[in-house]
This record gives sequence, C-alpha cells and structure tokens, in this order.
Amino acid sequence: MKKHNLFVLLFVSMLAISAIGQSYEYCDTKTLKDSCKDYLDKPYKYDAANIILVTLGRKPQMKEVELPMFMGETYRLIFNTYALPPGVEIHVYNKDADHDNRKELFSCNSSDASKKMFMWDTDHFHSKLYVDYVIPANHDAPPAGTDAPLIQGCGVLVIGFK
Amino acid sequence: MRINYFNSITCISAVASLILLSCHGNNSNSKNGANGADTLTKATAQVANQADQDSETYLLPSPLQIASIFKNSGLTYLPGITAPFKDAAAFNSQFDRALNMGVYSADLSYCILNKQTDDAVKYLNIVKSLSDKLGFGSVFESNSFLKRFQSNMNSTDSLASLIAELQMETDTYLENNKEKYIGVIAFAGAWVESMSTGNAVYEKQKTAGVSSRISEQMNILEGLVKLLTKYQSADNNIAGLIAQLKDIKTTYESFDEVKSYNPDSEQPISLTPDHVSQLGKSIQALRSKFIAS
Repeated sequence: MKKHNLFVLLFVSMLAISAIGQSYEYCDTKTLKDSCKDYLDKPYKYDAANIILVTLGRKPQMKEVELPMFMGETYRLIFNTYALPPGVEIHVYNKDADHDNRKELFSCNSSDASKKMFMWDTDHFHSKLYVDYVIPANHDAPPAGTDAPLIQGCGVLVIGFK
Repeated sequence: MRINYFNSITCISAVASLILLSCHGNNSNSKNGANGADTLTKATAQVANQADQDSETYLLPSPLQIASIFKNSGLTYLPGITAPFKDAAAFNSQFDRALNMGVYSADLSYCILNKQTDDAVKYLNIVKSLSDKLGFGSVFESNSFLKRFQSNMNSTDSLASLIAELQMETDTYLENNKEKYIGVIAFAGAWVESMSTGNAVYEKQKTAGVSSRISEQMNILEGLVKLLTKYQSADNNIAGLIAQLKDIKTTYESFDEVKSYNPDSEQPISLTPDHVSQLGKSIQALRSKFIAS
C-alpha cells in the first residue's frame, strides 16, 4: 500500500513538473505542434518543424525562415497561427527577400478568428522555399529596456514529406 | 494509523500537484483557443530579446527524409557500409553521444527503407541507449516506440512513419528543454553518415541519380554550419566540427561545375565522377573520426 502511494505521488509530481517546464510561457510548443499532426495524414510524414517567436514592437518586423527542398519531392506545409497575435501575415516565396523578382506561392494570416490552421502542398519543385512572417507594429509598445509588458506570441510551421 | 497518516499526506500532495497541473493546462488551452486575442500573453523586453535569439531562420530536414531522397534516386542496400554496432557506453562525452546518435539515426533510416529489419532493430536500440544517456530516453517510453516498432516489422511504411513520429517527439523535447543544439549536432552526424552511405553506393554502382542527390545535399551544409555557429557556445567541440564541415564545403566549392553554377537554376549541379569521389573521400575521413570517438 505504502509503495503504491509513493508511486502515485511520484508519478503525479513528475507530471506536474513536466507540465510547468515549457520553454516559453506564451508558447506551448508541444500542444501547438501536436495539433498539426491531424493535418499530417498519409502519405505525408513529419520532416521538420519551426517555431517563430514574435514580439510586437513600435516598428513592423519581418522574419524569414529558409526551407531546403529536394527535387522530385512533394511537401506539405502546415501553419498553426493559434498563438500568433492578430495581424501577422505569412507568405511563402520561391526566393529570399533580397530578390525583387521572387514569386509568392502561398499566403495566410493570423487575423481570421475562425481559421487558425493553414495547409499548403508544394506543386512544383523549388530548391528552397522562404517563409516570411510580416509582423505588424504595436504603437503602444513600451521602449526597449523597460520592464513594461509587451505583446508576444509564436507561430508554428510543421513540414511533412511524401 | 501510520498508514492512514501517510495516505493523507500522499493524497494532499497528489491533489496539490494536480491543481498545479490543471492551472497550467488551462493556461495552455486559453493560449490555443480560436480567439486570437486569447492567444496573447505579456512579457518584458528582456524576454523579447531572448525570443528573437531562439527563433531559427533555417530549417534542417530529418535523417529519414535524406535517406528517402537517396532511396528514391536509386540508392540500394550494400552490406557493411553502415556504422559498426557499438554500446552507447563507448561514447564518453555528450558531444560524441549526440553526434553518433545522428550517425545511427541515419543508418536506422537506411536500413528501414531497405527492409533490413534485423539491423534496424539493433540501430534503434543504440539510438535509444544514446537518448537515455543524453537525457531524453523518456521520448521512447512515453509512446511505446520499441514495442510498436517490433509489432510493425513487416511494414516499411509503418516503420518509417514511426521513425518520423519519434523525430517529431525528439525535436519537441529538445525545443522545450532548450537543448536544440543537441539536435543540430546529431543532424551533423546524420548528414555526414547519409552522405557517406550515398557516396559508398555511388562508388560501387555509379548510379547517376545518386550523384545529383549528393550535390543537392551540399545545399544543406551552409545552413548546418550557420546553426552550429549559433550554438557554438553550448559545447567546446562544436567549433572543431564547424571547421571540419567548412573543409568539406571548401572542397566542394573548388569544383569548376560548382563555380559556374547559376544559383537561380532549379536543377542540382551534376558533379563529375572524379569530383564525387574527391568529395566522398573528405566525407569518409570525417565520418571515420565520428565513429571512432
């Protein structure tokens, strides 16, 4: 009986400790990534994931993530925008932001309250893809170096391959 | 009486832990609700700076994806080219464990995709032992991976899906525990082992598809070096690894067909057989160092 109780105590305590040990208080990456699994059905398999951490500042920002792609492969990109602040735009391009003639292949945004999960399957070979997160300004953001609160969030991208 | 007292303390502790757990759970749920406004929480400028540093700008593929690409290009199974089976205890530092976990993960994928299930089980057990030593063996246990692996031995596709799931769980664990650098070191091991395997098969069979895949894989090296540089302060051995990978990159960039390549082209570079061999020698030399550690 005593051993059984000890086991229960240890087990429940470990569960509690693991639950509060998340990387970022505002970004439960496991839950956000797990919710992408429903969109990663056969024939797609998990390849990689990216978490983009966003803090609204007084100026708009842009964060770009480079994705290596391989010839003849088909990929599925799943964007989870549940934890992003409203107004963040996501654009997928065939070239990076330094190219003027790049082509937009897909876009979505975090403003739509009724749709937070977005999915796109590549239909043409690109040696690389670039995902741009366009983050709006928050004109009420406190100056840098102060302890005043900021608006933060995170976006999750999960990639699957066939 | 003693047992009753003990029971009470246990129950109170368990309830307190559950309350703690449920508080966190509610927080997570509200963050992930459909209303965008609910997803926001507040932080300070210091936290914001940390967040900027923690966002990645380059994504690495999984070892399974690399093995799958080579397989689709005609890479067949050759016995004796994968890493020798070793006890996880043979690796003394966290760096060597992470590096070789990558090496064995690549061999595990190669064996699965080529229906070498006996060897795949051996590699899976080594990967699990190394994960234990690196501190995230729980990833295997939480989802009964070994048991599920054993019961799906006859289905290559099911085994590949299991490995992909294991990769996702490992990535999430490392992300949540701020140990992403271990994943990057492991990827370096996996990448070198995959390139070594691709090169060894090419040398025997001269399959044209494999040659172009080898050059295509070189695109990853630049991103890998960038990520290793970012995490350089996490382990003293990373600087040496970066230098060794840069040597391979320098060899590759010295080839005429690479120098004259149009970066806007959407076709991979076609390396000459001599250059594939030259590149292969550089990779084999580095791989020998990895598996000897």
